[in-house]
Amino acid sequence: MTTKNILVVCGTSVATSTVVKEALKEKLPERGLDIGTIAKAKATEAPGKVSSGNFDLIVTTTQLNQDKFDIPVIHTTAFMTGIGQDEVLDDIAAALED
Amino acid sequence: MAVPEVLLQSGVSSLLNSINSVIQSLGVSVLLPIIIFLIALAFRVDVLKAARSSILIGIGFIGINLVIGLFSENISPLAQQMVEVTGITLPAVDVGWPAAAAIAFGIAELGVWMIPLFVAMNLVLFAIGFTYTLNVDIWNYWHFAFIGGLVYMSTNNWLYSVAVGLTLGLFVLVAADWTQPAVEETFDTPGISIPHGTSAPYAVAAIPIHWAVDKTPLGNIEADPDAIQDRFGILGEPIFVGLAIGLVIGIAAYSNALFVAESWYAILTAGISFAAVMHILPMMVGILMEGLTPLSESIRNFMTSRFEDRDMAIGLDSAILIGHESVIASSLLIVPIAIVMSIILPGNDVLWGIDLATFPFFFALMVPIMNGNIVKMVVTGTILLIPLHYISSAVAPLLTQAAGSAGFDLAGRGLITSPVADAGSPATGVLALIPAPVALAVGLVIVLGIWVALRMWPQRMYMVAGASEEKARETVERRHTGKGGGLLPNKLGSSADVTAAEGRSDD
Repeated sequence: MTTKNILVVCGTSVATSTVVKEALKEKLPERGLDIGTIAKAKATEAPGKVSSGNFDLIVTTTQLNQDKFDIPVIHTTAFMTGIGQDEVLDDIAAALED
Repeated sequence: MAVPEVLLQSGVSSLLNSINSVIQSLGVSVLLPIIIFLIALAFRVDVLKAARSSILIGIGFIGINLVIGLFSENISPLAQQMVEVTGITLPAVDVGWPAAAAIAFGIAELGVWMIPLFVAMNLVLFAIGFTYTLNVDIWNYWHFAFIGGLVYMSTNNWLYSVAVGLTLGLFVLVAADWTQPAVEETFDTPGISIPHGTSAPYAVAAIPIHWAVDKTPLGNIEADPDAIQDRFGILGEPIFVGLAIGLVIGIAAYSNALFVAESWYAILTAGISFAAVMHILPMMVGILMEGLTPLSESIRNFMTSRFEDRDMAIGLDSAILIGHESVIASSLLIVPIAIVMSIILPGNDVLWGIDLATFPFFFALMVPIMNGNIVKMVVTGTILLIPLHYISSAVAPLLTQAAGSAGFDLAGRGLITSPVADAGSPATGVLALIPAPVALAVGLVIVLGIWVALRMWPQRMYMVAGASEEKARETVERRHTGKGGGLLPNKLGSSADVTAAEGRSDD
């Protein structure tokens, strides 16, 4: 399996994206996924960062226009609320395995 | 025996003095990690995790101080020079919300102590049924520390400061309950409310302004937010905004010597420095946030596990709303308007800077109220910019003093402010600029007024905040019928507000 890079998007790239990044860093390797970089971005920066071609998946805490991206986009607040984290981690793992 | 007593007293006071001097000389970057470590242990964070968090928080503070140093070295002298050359006097430099948040948490006597105080208040208010929101977004407790910190600077009274800080906390909880159905409907965020110290006061203030704007012909214009966002494209990113502002300030500062090569070295340096601050400062604040994450998880579990069977809304950061296209488009459009207003408004002191990138928080909760119509959002926002300029100008001396007290080195280079979050917020105007006892009374009257209205006419109130009639009714059925889990009533008065007022069919 190849190393996967994830872009975590929120409004500021400071607060909620940090919570998600920390959670992914801890929980994805437990599922046997090989994760490379987990980068953070503001919603306004996301199209620019994704166009570099370095990322395999977007996990966002805020609404994004999915048509603007050619990689999968997963929208979730589960890591902040603590509700439904496992289901979202399943979705993320499935998206990365494709 | 008088002598030993005197000795004892002088012993105690010299002990207190030496504790004070230790605190003074340690500085925030050491003191804060120690305090956070203790709070984290109290909330049962694992010792090593708590230690790692605390160290990261210290690192974050040192990083923020470095960037503020870069800013005051490169930008503040230019701003001064701009005044001399152009005569435009804008002495309060906008250092933005990241600095404001760090200052707020950095005031040793108050800052992070707001975290356990607010958690306790929120748990009690939820338990008695005053609010439906559990605000687990501890990072955004900085807003309460901010307003409390300003009051502490002006009164030196700890109790007033805490009370005012918690009053803002009370307000955002009630506002979060009020806007929750609309937010859930517009942004597709089930079970989440937004108790945000910046977004909530602006949105509540926007309601009457929008009502008036809607009566004018402006209420009928539509604009396509997606097209605006596409037109700005990559230029709407903060680093380009930063570059542009730096260049403009540079050109203004050297407008009497534009044909000299040296001027252009300085102008270009100003542009890149400003872009650098815009880009690096949030990263440094991100380190602080990373440090707070384990504590925030523990507090979340601590709060939510107590009420698993109750209908609750989890309170999160409005950062989750601001990817919405109307928010982004309005935030881009208002930047030039804000800069022009700062120059033409008589008596304004604000020199815009970092907070030009903070407008998404200003607009986030206005989206449901105005149906995402960006013309209405920008017009309403422009009207709110008038008090924003004056409040953030008036607060600048207090905030500058607070920065000093939090250990940030401004090298005596003039005033700072953070106009959008939260120096120019209506909440700051009400709570920090009038004498504390009056501010407390006014704040509590506003909060209780909204609370009573929410219990008397819940459906109408939810619709005012932007929910559809259907959504509002559904929420009333879920929240305001039958007995709630707490002591306080879910509903005051007997009739269903909208059908009774409009249809008059049931009597």
